[in-house]
Amino acid sequence: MQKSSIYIYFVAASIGCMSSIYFLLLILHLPLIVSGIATLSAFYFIAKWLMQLKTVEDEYVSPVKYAILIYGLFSIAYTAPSIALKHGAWDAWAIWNLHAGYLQDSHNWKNMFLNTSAAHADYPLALPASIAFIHKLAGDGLWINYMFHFLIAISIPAIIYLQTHKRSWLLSAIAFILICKDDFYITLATYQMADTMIAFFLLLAMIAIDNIDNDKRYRIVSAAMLGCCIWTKNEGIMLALLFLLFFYKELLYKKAYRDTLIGIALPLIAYVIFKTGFATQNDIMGSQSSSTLSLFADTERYKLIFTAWKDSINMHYYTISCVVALCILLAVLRGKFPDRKISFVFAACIAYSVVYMITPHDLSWHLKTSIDRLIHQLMPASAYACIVYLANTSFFNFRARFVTNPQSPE
Amino acid sequence: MKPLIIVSVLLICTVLSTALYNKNVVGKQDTIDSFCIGLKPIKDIVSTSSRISFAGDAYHNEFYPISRYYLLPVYIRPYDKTTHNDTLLTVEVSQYPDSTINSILEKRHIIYTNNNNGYIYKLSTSN
Repeated sequence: MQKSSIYIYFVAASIGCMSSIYFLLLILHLPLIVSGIATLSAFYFIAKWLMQLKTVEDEYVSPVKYAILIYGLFSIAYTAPSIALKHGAWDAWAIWNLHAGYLQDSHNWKNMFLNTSAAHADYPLALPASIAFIHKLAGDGLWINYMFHFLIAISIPAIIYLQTHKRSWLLSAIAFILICKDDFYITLATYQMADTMIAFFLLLAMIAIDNIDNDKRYRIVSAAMLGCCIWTKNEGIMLALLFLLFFYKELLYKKAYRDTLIGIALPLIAYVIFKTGFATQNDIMGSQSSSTLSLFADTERYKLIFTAWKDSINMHYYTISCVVALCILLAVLRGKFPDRKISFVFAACIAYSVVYMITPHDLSWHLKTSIDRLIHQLMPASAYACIVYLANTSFFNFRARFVTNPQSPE
Repeated sequence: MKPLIIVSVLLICTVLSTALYNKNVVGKQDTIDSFCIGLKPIKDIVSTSSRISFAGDAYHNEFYPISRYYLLPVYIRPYDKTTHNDTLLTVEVSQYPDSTINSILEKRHIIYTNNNNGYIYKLSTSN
């Protein structure tokens, strides 16, 4: 793990911690000053603990690498305001920011759960609680929401670049620039919804998994990021369960589960309390019945879902899908099963498709309003997984060809 | 890579982009579909109203709550987003007395008509 990446982990862990603490103390009717002190103490503890993790710091880095990083990030900084909507997209102002507005009111915040029609009061609160807490400290201002989401948006390509540039600088730089210059990525990132946030947490969980061999404490970090996924969106629980299934050995095998429990505890507690004590019933889960199985016999639904995936990928995610296909092809040619991280992404796509199969909503509408964002959630993790996989193949591993005894990438 | 450089670049980019957003986006006039007309701050609403109502769903009929941060308990009747430049909305207002609604709408330069049953307003922006 790069030392610089730890700072990005600090941002992610702070978001998870801040939102969980704020929500838990809101339930207890404790004043803001208590939340503030508790959150600041948690920040201090997290920072101190993260700094103790085993990291590497490069002795020399080419100025070109810095130049690319600076160019890419400044490019997003310049482009995002020209793309951003003033209040974010519909979901942002009618759901996420509206919930944040309720959570700012320590006396009447539970009125949020009276909005049962189209207001999605079952959505987890990592994003609204974070925004509410910051607004209570810094005052109202549209710039706060934008800044919060923008920081997450640039942290994603930054940490992909930081964590992969030593494996294959060429692939890393190409992926980094492609993300930074991707207007669709920037558009969704500035929508002020929770999709980029869950993509961020999932990516960090995946990166932490790759570092467990160097320091076992990265297991706690990975679990904490999974907890944040759960605490961010309803699909987070599905992603977390899939992740645990694919990385069973690292996260649950033998005594590993103890570290996993420690990492996941705080956001999971907040989530369980929220879901059992406050949230309204989820629209998809709440409408399931014995007739659900009959939906799987409807071939039209398969066609609609397949077409939606195809259209969205062709329109917005063509490059990354080609790279994923290349990774799978290389694995097949080598007679091996595709890389676990890539398989996980593939499994997540199948799981999303199953949810579409059982949706009680009009399927065309549901696909139209969400499939782009679901792929957006998986895109950063896919990019990272592909770079790592391709960098380890002999074709792309230029370094290994020219150096007789290359040090293994950190 | 040096943490100091990375953290500095991330922070500078964030501040720069936020400043650009503040300068170029925040000051923009809301369009009719954003319709942030400042009816009543949400913090007042949550304490006085039990419910903020939405009608229908967002896809088939393009229903919208009346504004983003300032909501009244209203039902907004369907309108076609593709023709929203016509700036015509039909709004059913509940709970709040006519006088409150009227004064707010006048203050915000919103032209309205009442169909005399006290609940239906046709709204259009004056700009």
